[in-house]
Amino acid sequence: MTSDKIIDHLFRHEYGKMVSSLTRIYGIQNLELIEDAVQDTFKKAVLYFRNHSLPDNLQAWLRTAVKNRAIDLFRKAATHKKYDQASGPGFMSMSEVFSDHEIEDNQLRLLFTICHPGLKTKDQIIFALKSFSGFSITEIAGALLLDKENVKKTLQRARKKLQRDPIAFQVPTGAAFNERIDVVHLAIYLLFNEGFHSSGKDSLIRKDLVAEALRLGGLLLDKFKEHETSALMALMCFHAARLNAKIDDEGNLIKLKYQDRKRWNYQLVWKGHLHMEHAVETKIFTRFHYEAAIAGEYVMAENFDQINWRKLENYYTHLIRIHSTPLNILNLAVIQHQSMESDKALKTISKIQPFQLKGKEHLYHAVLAEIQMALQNYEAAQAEIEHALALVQNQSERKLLTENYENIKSGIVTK
Amino acid sequence: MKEYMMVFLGPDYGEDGMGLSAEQIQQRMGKWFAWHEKMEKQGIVKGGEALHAHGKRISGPDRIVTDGPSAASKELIGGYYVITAESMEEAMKVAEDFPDYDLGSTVEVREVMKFEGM
Repeated sequence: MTSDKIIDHLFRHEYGKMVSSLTRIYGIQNLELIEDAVQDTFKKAVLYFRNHSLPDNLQAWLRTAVKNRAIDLFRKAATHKKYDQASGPGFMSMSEVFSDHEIEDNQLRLLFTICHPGLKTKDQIIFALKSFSGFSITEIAGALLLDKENVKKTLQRARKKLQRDPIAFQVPTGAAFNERIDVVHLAIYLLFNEGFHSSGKDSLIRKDLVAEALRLGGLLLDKFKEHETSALMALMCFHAARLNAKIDDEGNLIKLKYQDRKRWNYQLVWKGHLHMEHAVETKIFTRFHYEAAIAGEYVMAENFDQINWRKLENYYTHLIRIHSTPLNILNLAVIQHQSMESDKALKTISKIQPFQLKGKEHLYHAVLAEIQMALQNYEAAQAEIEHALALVQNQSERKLLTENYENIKSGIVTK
Repeated sequence: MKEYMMVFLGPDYGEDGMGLSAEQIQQRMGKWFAWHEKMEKQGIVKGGEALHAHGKRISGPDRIVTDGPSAASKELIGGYYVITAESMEEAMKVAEDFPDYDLGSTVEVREVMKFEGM
């Protein structure tokens, strides 16, 4: 085995597998010590292989090393006691918890435990990235645009919470399962959005977050086959398909209309489509169903002019019924405007206030400007676009707004 | 043929040093392995080991004991190799492949003193 044959992300993926399996034995209250053991083993591996040849099965080598390291650390720890009772139902030996089938179940146990109802969603994400996905504190800080100290403190708080207010290291059943899987879905979706939506971040890390969210969703889907998970997967696939095309060479956002469709990943579009087929085999449609349907309509239309605005309006109306957010309402107004129903759009946008779109206030004014323009209220349109220009930060968006502004001014002259 | 020691200086990889992630550690491993393999093929490796962080220093007539450089210190010695080379220039050429320059780490190349005929 040569160095370039080491499997992609082997260490990162092994990290979560090892941590979850050791947690099955030693209990969630010992998470910190467990993570130390895993981290330590990886560090030792890199030093060891400076002057040894790589084993044929690096994965097996790492697992053996981490088992030994964990036993060692727990032996040394002053709090040495019988750990096999701390882990909840049934004692399992080291070799049992490291069997392939058990590893998968343990990963899900860890994921559901991290999505502890007592933790904030943002904290759950940080926690999951560290303990489940094997990101370092520096990487998490970079990916979520947070201070390193901030990340450290969040992790300490989360671990303490699990010590003070322990929940069983297992996937809940019955009604509790339905409640918790909602939390897990939301955490995965937010993780995805962190990777997908920001343009200011390092593009490699951004792709890693997107890939990690898809990996977690896939793990969940394989095990539980929930329709809602399929809808979430479809949604993420449809969005992710556009990841390469939505940022220009200078790192600026490109609007959907101007994206180069040749740069979309049609394999992901197809995957999303397959997930969608499974997602709709139910009577209960969730926000993810409608959001996936919307994202799907955008990527499956052959070009921007082929987009079916009527369908989109219908999806948004349903979505707002179960998940009403200012941004969804603004989007509905955009759709109605696009399908030449600017009166309706004006009514829709009047239901929200610009301040509700924190950080995106300029969008409210830009959309309202276009609606007023279509309704031939040129002065109102001019006032709105001036407002938007005063608020916009992003350079490429500013450029687009300026062009619109010129159009409106010439509209005033010719009216 | 002369012998040279390459001493590696830079913070520890662990959480109290550079805080490398699993992903980064894997990358490092690949790079170190490739370098070692290259040197082995050339048949120039005489020996070498990696060192733990958190050592002790003993100094002066009173044998004062202090902690070694911290894991985060740029002066921390992380390991060494002894290689054979024709000249300092050639040894420095070998040291060009040291994998951790991008992390800000340093290699010190020193000729091993030989006492032939003593």
